Amino acid sequence: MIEIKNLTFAYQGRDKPTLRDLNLMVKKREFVLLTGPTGCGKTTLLKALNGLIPHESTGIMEGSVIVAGNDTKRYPMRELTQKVGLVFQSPDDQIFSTKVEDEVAFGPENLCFQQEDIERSIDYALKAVGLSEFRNRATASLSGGEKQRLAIASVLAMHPQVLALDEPFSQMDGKGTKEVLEVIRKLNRDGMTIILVEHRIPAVFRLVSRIVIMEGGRIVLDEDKEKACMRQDIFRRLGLWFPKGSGLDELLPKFLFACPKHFLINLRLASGDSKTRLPGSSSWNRKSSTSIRFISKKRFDDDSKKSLFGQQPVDIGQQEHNEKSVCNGVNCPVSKPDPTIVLEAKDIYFRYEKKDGFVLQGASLQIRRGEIVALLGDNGTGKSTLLLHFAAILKPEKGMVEILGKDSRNLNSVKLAGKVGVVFQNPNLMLFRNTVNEEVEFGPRALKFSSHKLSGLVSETLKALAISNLRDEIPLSLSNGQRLRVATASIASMQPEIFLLDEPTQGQDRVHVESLMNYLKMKSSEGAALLFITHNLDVALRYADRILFMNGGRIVENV
Amino acid sequence: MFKAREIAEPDTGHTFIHNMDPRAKIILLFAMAVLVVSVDNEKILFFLLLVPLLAYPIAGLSRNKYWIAFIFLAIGLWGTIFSQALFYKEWPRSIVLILIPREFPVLGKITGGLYVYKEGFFYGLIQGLRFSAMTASGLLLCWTTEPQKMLLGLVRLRIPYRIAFMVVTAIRFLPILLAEIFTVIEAQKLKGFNPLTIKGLFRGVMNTLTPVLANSVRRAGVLAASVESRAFRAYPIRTYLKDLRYNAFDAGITAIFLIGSLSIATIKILYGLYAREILYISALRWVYEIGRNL
Repeated sequence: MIEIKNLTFAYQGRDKPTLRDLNLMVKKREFVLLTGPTGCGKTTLLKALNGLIPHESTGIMEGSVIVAGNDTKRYPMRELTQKVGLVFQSPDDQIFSTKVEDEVAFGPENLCFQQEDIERSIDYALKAVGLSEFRNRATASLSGGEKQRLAIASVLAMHPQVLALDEPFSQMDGKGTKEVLEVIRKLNRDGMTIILVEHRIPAVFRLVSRIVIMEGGRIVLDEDKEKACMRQDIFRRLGLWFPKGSGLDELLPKFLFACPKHFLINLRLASGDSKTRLPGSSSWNRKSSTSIRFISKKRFDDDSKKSLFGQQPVDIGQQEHNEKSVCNGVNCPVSKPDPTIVLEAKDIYFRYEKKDGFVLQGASLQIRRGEIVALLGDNGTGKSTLLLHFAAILKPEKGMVEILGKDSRNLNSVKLAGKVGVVFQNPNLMLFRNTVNEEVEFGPRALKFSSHKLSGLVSETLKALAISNLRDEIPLSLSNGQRLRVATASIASMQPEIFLLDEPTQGQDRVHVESLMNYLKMKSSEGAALLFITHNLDVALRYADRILFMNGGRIVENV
Repeated sequence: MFKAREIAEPDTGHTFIHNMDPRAKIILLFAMAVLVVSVDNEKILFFLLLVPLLAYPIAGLSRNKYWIAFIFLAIGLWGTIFSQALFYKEWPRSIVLILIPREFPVLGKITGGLYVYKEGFFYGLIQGLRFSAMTASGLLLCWTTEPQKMLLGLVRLRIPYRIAFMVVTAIRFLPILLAEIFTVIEAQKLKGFNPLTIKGLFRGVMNTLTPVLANSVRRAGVLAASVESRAFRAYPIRTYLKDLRYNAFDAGITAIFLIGSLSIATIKILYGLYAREILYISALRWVYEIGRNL
C-alpha cells in the first residue's frame, strides 16, 4: 500500500533534514504504530504520505513516496487526499464548522462530489465512527472523544484507503481514547490500512501489528510488535513508554511491600468504560463497588502479582475483556510528618453560567502539606474547574474553598502569587519572555526577591529541571517537554507552597514526564503540596500519595 | 476554560431573523453602512442604532450577548465622544470644561491646555453613533447566522471562496483566542505581575501577545494542514451540501432597505453639491430641505 524509498526532506531554512534516507513499506490492512521521541520526524513523515509534502510545504524532498501505486510527487493533492486521510492531534484545532454534518461535508464538497454523493459520504463516515445520531448536533457540544471521531469522519468522507493519525489521543481521557480506539480497530478490521503516531504505546499496543520507531529522522526499529518488545534498550534509550514491562509492572512489587494498606483499582475506572459504574453516578450501586477492590497486603503472594501484572502491557483497549487491576504506587498515604491542611474544598458547587448545569456539585477534599495528589476522571467532570478554584481564579457559588487557611473569596491570583503555582494545560500560554532565564526570573522579580536570592533560585531551579543549558534560548522555540519544564521552572522559582498542574503528562515522552515528576516529588519532600490532573494512570500510581477520581462534579473516590 | 465563546458563536434559534437568507442580512448590513455614513443628524443616527437593538429580543438572544453588545457599544461610544471632545480641532468651538489650564505648570505648557469642547462632544457623538449602529448590526448578523451559511452567503455574493473561508474561520476561532488571552493574564497574575493595571498595561499587553500570537500561528498551521488534507482548493470551484433560498420576504426587505438607503445617500449627495455651490436645481429645493435635516 505504501512504499517509501530513500526519503529525505529538509524544511526550508533548516540546516538539517527532518527525514533522512528513510525507507518503509506498509502492506494493505496493516496497523502500524509509528513512534519516537518528540521532534524525530513522525508528523513530517505523515505529511509526506498524503502529499502535504511536497505539494503544500516548502522544502527539499528527495526519494519517493508511493501510495497505492501513485507517486506523491506526480499526483495532485486532490487525488492523494482520497488515498490517505490524515487526522491531527487536537480536534479543536481542525474542526471549524459549527455543525457536525458541515464538517464532514467539507472534503467531499472540495472534491466536487454531487449533492447526493456528499449525503452518502456523510452517512458512511458518520456511521463508521458511530456518530450517525449526531449529524445535526453542534460541534461545540461534543466531548473530546466525539470530536476526534468527527475529525476521523471528516477524512473518511473522502474514502481514503489509508488512515494516518497523529497522536489522536494525546488530549483525551480514557473514555475518549477507548471510543476512538474502537473506531480505528473497526476500520482496520474492515480493511483500512492504519498508521498511528502515538506516545502512549501501552495504550495501543494490543491493536497494532507492527511498531516502527524513529529517531533523528531515521527509522531505528521496524519489527512486528512481539519482536519489538524484545528491544527494551531502544525504548529506554529514547525515553519512550515501554509497550511491555511498563511502569506498572515495575511498580507493583514496590507498592506491595511498601504500603501498609493498599488497594486495587479496576482499570476500567480510569479508562471510563461505560460499563463501569462510578460511585456517585446515578447508575452506581453496591454491586458496582466490586470494580474497586481493596485487598490487604497479606492476600498477595508472588504468583498473584504475576497473574495480575506479569508481563502484560497496560492496554486500555483490552479492558473491556480484562479485569486486570493495578495498585497505587510507591507513595501510598503513609503517615506524613506535617498534617497541616493547605487546600480544602468544602462541598463546593460551581457553574459557569446561570443557565448551565453545575460543573462542580458538592466537591470536597483536603490536601496536606507535602502531599502529592493525582486527580483523575473523564473530560468534563470538573477537574480543571476544581483546580482553578484552588488558585482563586474561580470562586464557588456554594460551599467554601480554603487556600492556606484563607477563604478563597477574599483571595485572587495576584494575592496568591508565589504561594500557589499553577502550570496550565497548555504551558505555551505561560511563556512570554524572550529567554528561558528571563522567564524563570520573571516571578521572583515581580515578587521583589532580593537580587542575591533571585540569582541563586533561578540557577538552582534551572539546574534541577535540567534546563540550564537552555537559559538563553527563546522559550516558545523549545520542544514540548522543554517548554513544560520551563513553565514549571517559572513557577517553581517563586518557591510556592502549593503546585497545581493541569495534565502535565499530556503529549510528553516518558523521560520528560519522569524528569518533571521527580523534580516535583523532591519539592514535595521539602514540604510543597502537589495536586496534578492526569489521564495517565501509570504516572498517577507511580508518583501520587493519593488518587482522587472525579465524576459528575465531585470526588467519588479517594484512595 | 472561560466562556469566551459567547462572543462569537451564534445563538441557535428559529426566528425569522435566523431564517433569513444570509445574503439578505449582508445586504441589510451594507444598507445600514450607507445610511450611517450618509446621515449626520444625531437623532436619526440614534434611531438607526435602535433598529438592530430592537431586533435582539426578537431574535431571542441570550442575556450574555446583551452584555457583550452593551460593553462593545459603551466602549465605542464613550471612547469616540471623549476623544473627539478633547481633541476637536475645528472652529468655532466652545469650551465647556477645563481639564488642564494652559497656565498649569509643565503639563499646561506641553499640552497647550486640555479642554472639553461642546462641538467636539457632538461631533464625537455622531461618530460614536455611527460606529455603534454598525457594531450592533454586525453583531446581530454574526449572532443569528450559522458560519456555514455565512460562508455560503459570502460566496454567493461573489466573494472568493478562500477569502470567505478565512473570514468565517477567523470568527470561529475568536473565542479560543479570547480564552487564551484570559489564561495568559491569569498566568501573569500568578507570577505576581498584574497586567490589568495602568502601570502594568504596556508590559502586560506585550507579555500577553507573545504566547497568544505564537499559539495562533501554530493553530493556523494545523488548520491549514488539516484543510489542505481535505482537498481545500482542489478545484477552482466546489459543490455544496446545502444551498440558500432567497425567498420573497428576503427580497422584499432588502429591496426596501436598499432603495431607502440609496435614496437617502442620493439626497445627501445632492444637498452637498448644493451646499458647496457646485450644483443647484430649483426644482430640487424640497430635496435640499430634506437633506439639510438628515
